[in-house]
Amino acid sequence: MSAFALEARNLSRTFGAVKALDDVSLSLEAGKVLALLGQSGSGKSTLLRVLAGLESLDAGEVYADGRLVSDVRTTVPPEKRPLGMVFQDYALFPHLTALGNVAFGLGHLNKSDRLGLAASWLTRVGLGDRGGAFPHELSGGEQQRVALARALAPNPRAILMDEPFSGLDPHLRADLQSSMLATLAEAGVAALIVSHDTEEALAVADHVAIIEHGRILQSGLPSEVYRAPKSLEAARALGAVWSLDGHARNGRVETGLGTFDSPFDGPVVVCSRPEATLVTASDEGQHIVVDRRGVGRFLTLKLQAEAGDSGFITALVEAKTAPERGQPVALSLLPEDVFVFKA
Amino acid sequence: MTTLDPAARPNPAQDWERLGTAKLLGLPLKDWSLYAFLIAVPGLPVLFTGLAALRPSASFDHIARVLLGEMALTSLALLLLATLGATILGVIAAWFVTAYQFWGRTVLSWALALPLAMPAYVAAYAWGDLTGARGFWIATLVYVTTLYPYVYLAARGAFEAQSVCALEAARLLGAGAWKRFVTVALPLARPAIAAGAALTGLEIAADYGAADHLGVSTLTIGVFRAWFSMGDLAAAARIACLLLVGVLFLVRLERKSRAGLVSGGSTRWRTPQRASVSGVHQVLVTGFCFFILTLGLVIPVLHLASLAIASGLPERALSKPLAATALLCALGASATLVLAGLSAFVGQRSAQASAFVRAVSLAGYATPGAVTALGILAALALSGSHVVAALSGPLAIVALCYAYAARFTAAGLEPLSAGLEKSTRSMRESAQTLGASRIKRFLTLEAPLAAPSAFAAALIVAVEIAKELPATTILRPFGLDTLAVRAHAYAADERLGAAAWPALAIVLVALIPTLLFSHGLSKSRAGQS
Repeated sequence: MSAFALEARNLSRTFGAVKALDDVSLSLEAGKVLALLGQSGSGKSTLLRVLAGLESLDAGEVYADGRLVSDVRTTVPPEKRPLGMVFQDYALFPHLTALGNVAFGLGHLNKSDRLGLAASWLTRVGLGDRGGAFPHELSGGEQQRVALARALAPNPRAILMDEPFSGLDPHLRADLQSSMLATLAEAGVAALIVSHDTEEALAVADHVAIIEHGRILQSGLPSEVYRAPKSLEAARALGAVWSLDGHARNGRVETGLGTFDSPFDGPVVVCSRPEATLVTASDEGQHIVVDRRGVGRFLTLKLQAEAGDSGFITALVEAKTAPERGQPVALSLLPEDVFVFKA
Repeated sequence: MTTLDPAARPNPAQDWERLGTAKLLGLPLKDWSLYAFLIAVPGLPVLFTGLAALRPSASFDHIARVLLGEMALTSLALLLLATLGATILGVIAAWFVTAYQFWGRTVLSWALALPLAMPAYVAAYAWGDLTGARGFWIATLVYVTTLYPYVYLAARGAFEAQSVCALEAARLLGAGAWKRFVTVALPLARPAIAAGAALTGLEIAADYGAADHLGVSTLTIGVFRAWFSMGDLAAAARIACLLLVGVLFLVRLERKSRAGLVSGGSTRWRTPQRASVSGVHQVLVTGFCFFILTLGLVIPVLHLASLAIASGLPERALSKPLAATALLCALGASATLVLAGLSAFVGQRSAQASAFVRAVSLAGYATPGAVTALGILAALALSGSHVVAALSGPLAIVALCYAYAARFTAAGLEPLSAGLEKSTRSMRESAQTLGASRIKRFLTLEAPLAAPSAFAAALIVAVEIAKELPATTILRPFGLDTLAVRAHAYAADERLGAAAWPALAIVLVALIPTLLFSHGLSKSRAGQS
């Protein structure tokens, strides 16, 4: 018996020759937000649809609130699952008011209870006075909040959200994200948020899972995945990364930045993050600043080895002390900030 | 071990893909039977026409020797000449309206489509009386002036869609107005224009009333003569088969053109910059547009109105044919909408299904009404019933509704599909995750959103039925005269004053949806994104 609000075990789904999902497992806890990060075509939308019951499975099981809802032979239809979903385009019903939209999933109640509960949900998302408005009269942010209220109103155990902030202006996002987190915490539901935007995912997530080519590359606490990525793709998913090609011998790989431990021998990729790359202006330095970009407190430097080492290194430095373009610099890295992966 | 929920059933997601429509109807229909049904409706009349053509015929040898060559040549010449004329007028008018700013442009942009409300046979009564002439050239004039809107609408849509990207690029590259038209606009719009021209050709091939009134022996007239004058079903069917060969060519042209349609290349939309014309040019441009509109609509209407007023109301009042028309419109439109709705549902499942239902409904529309009706007669005859007796009662009305549904499903399918698409996939899935059953989803989401489009579809189909003449003439039960049948009978007796009343009533009724459609269309294209 599973204690999770929603749990997926070893899911596989193939479309023709494409493995959209390949042995995917994940679980959602009540009151927690899991962010699923992946590029378009990585399988994240298929996973969402399988969990919702909109798509069937080739292998694996889905449990909702401890109850088997999907396996190879059977799929409990979406309307019979204790799950809510917020679609990327919100999918508000254009012929119903905001109140009518939120009340849509409350068919089991009598009319006055239904409208009362819908109104209280609109108030919770800060739209108590917009109940009579039709979707086309609402702003993008208001539509998003109506969609969230509509999905939460039937009291689901878990809620699935497909790129819920992608259509919104950047300055609106932060507000909506924090109000959404407050609403979710208050409702105590588990949430799965699908996103291709790292910042957005880290802003809302308690846990992250990184999906690529239908496989979960890595999952865990965001800080864990950030500090100890298991692959270059996983490292990239949680923030900017630079990388250099190298060749490891006897558990060591030599680069223009020093020698690092390598778990493998043979061709490897050595990488680190711009914010972990320490830059000191020095005429004896082995690297040259070829570009500097940005405004505000921090600048991004693009650096190249004088010896013509392959690839560029990027570093995030304080604007006050940032070296000028053309300045030779010395670079240093803490060993724990360097990741070495098989090439 | 977790037990399965009792509500679980095998793969409902796929299940719904496969059997959604059939479940809605409460019938355990399999895919193939659904598709077979949709093909059968327009297909069976054609099949039976073919079967009837194989039977021995008493008079066909005579017809073939004396008349067939002339009929085929006349049909072909009329088709080519009138389609060419309508295409030239339609393209020029569409280009003027999209590329230039001139006096009356806003009104003309939708008014130029109004001759769609003028059935060719009604225009034929007016022009025949006005000129005192009959025959090939008057028929060509009638077809060109009443059918150019098919090309006009298609070309205008194409020109407006391409205005932003291609034309402005051409302008920046230094191309003048004439060069932009010939080297950019026309080639880009060619598929749309060809599709519009093919529709024009289909209307000409299907026409019975105008050719009959003006005494032009086309193949369609041949079908009628073989059946009504000679009572020779097999001969009529053989001529119909020849007509179908020509129609098949037109359908192929339409299909190929549609496949060549490209979108404007940009989803963004801006008001096209129209060049102002003034002086003599403005007079010419405005004059041309008013001239073709006058030929297609104003002159026939005014002339018929003056004839009608001069003769006074016909002694036999219009109430009976009006009631008959209303009855057939209501029953026929209902049958057609059921078929169109089913087609739209099937078409919603996949791109292939959508292409399939489009092709089938187009085939039904392309089959001339006389051929569809003849096929239904042939089916009755081959099943052993006595045709004339069978067509005396309610069976005739069923047969007529069948013919209307086979012919006009295409007209209803377009708006119905658009209406169903208003509830997007994510809306439907959203309703599903909110716990709505299939029936609730249809009642609360899809039906309300599609209702305005369904109403528009019903209106368009009803008007097509009100205008329809050949199939109604062949299949109507004895004594049930529609406005169109009555008008044609008066006109055949040279009682044009009496014919003008029902004829004008048809035009008036047909103007309503034409106005709504054309005005709405030009508003939606007026430049808002």
